[in-house]
Amino acid sequence: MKKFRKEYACAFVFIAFIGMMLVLFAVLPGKTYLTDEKRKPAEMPSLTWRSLRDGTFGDDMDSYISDNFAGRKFFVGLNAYYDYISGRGGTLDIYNAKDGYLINGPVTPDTERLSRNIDIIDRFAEHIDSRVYLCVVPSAAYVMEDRLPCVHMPYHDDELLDIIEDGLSDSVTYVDLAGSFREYSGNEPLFYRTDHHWTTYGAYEGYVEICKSMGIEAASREDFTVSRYEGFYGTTYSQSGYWLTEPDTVEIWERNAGADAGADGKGSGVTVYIEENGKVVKQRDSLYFTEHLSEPDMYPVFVDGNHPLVRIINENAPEGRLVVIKDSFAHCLVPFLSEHYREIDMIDLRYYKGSSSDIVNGGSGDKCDVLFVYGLDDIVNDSNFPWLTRDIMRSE
Amino acid sequence: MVFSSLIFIFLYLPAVLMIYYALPKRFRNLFLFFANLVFYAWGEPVLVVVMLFSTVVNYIYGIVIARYREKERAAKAILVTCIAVNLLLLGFFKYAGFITGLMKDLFPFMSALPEIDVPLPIGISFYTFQIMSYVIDVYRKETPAQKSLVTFGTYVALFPQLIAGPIVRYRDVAEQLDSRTESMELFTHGVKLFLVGLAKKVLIANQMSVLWETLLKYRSENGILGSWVGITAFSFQIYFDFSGYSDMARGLGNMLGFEFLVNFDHPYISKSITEFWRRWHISLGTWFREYVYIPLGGNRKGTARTVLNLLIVWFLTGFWHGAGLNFILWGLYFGVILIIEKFVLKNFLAKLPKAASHIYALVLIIIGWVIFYFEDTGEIFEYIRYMFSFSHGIMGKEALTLTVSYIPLILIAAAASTPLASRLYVRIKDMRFTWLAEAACALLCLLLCTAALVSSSYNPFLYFRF
Repeated sequence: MKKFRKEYACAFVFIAFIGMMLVLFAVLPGKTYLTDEKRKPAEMPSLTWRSLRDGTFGDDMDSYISDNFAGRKFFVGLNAYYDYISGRGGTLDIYNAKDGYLINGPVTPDTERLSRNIDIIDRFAEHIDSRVYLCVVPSAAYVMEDRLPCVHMPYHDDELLDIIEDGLSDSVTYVDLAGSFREYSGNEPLFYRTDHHWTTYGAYEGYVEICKSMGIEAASREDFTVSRYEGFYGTTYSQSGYWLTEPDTVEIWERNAGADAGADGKGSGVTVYIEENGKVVKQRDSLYFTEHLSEPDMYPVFVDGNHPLVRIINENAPEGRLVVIKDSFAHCLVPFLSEHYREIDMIDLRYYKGSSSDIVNGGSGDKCDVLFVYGLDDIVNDSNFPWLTRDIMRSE
Repeated sequence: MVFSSLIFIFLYLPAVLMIYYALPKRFRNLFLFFANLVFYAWGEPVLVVVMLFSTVVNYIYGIVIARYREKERAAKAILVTCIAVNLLLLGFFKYAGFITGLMKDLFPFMSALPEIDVPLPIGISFYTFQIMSYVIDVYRKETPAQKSLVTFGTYVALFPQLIAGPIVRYRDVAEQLDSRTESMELFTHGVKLFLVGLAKKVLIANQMSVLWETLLKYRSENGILGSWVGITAFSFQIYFDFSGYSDMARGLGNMLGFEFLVNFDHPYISKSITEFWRRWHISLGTWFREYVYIPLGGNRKGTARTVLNLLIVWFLTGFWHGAGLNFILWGLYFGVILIIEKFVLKNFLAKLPKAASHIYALVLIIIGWVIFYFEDTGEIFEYIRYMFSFSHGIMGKEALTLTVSYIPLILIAAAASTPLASRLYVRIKDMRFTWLAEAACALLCLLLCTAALVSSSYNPFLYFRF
């Protein structure tokens, strides 16, 4: 064996590094789940003549190696912080903003689609015999402009919110959250730091505004008992690679027993039915699915996350039905509203392909209200709105 | 397979190096020959046949030409058929679709011509030119014919330079093919070159391409300054992409005991277009000078003929880069500038202050990249209008954000385009702790590039198209 020669140092570093990564890759067991990125790793592709020929084998192999690379988390993080430090933080998809906030950068808005979506909501509202409300949650960046990095791509929230407000006809009542959220100066965060959703407190503020529009009296903050769960790493965190960000705390607000006349106990009287393909797949006597609190992504604790159709019955609530057509922003909002409606039907157009007007018109014959709850990004870019009026278009 | 991929760096390369060095010398070419095929077939399992066909045919041609070398006319006739075969192959795979399309557009009566859509075999432009250098040199008695098919095949498909050059002339590596001495010095040098190239590609070119493509989305709002930033980003992208690939190729060659010639010599410090083309893609310029320009008579047959020769060479140079009108335009654009420089501006440019001639060259180079990038002639003129008109403002919001964010990287790219770093390196390389700094840089480069590759989805190689 030759003596170590200094002039060959680079070659040794090169061989040692590649050799080490190769050995680790070979020795370490394959990953089954990428916890920090909240997704399954790519599977080992099978070699077929076709996949070799069209190049998919090579691409899939690259993804497989990349997902199973030893120290993947370290490398993804290194890359994110390197991009950030070298000045490009304000051009990436997610901004490492002040006070430990991770904020989604602006999405290129599809204003045509937005106008079409608003038209569809209008058409739907005109067709059914209900009071219809639209509540759009502005983006975290819009509400917390002062926390954004000084150099960042321009947001279009104002322009988009104007399109929404101007585009709506009289048959829809617009609940203006943008104004009150922007002026909000309290200490409690309206949005999570590691997730794009609003916090339970943010949803409470939204609930208060919605109640104002609906003409019902909102419960006051003192009526709730708050339990806190630490260690929530949201989806923004997972996509960012900024692994040094502190986790969030998820709050569950439960109505105090006895605060409402007629309520005979905490949580009682509520039943949640989760439907998929027209069948009830889960039934629970609570709005909170606490098994998700032990996962890094805790947000599905609220009514179990995304499902096509969720039905909430509250025996203790006064008469009345509410149909909520929504994205995931509604999940932590509906628990507040369930105090006011005996039945709430939550429809997610991304997964529910049946007739929404049948749900509004059907049921126990109660007069039914309709509330649209969407985050701004979704109402602008979601392509599933046509499902809402499909049956109406057909019958016309 | 591309060099800047995890599979190449962490699987293919270590496997090749381990087996290569474990084998006795006499088996190394044979092994390289198969390793090349794996490398190539990874991306082109079908079209590898074209390359093999080309290899075998030209191997035979080489031997036949050598045999008839003393009979001038016979040898010449054989050479002509050989070149015709090579050009036909290249022409079919690379240009058939373009030419029939053009015919149909120009002549209505040809509209019955079929649509030809053949896939372009990766690297065909490069290996065809390498092969032609071989047969022509055998004909010119510059080199003996290669007796071994394996050795010849190793040369044609040598994986380091197979896909994107440099275009290695056979005679430059003929000796190395038969007997080369691998050494730790050369290997270390190769590692350094490879890492420099990898960093150029992954840390600069890929990022510049993000900047350019994002700016392109807002091209009508970027304003005059934003448009210049955009095409500057593309200028950096193409230089660091291509020269990075060449560096990696030379580095890999070194690791296997080969030494290839330099392909890029800081082209962006040029003070004229003539100088630029002496520094940019040197192996291609050398090839055209050696095998086209000089045989045509070069500059020895009077001014008119020189001008014509130059135009022919630059038409071909442009056309070699791609089957598109914009590439021809791009080649002729430089051809015309070179002619003007040669006959008119030469003395004037020499007298200009340095800064002025730098700016002159850079502006022309950058406009050249506009022609190179946009395949549609309308878009070329549209973009040039953005670059010279205030009617779209000075700089849009998006362009400003992007520019400010990329300033550190643009400055690094600008500095890395000059010989500054290599001059500094020459001065410190024998100092006491330089080896430690070198090793640290190597590790940092490996970490950052691996990080980018592990998390990246963005890794195109520009010269794959050619």
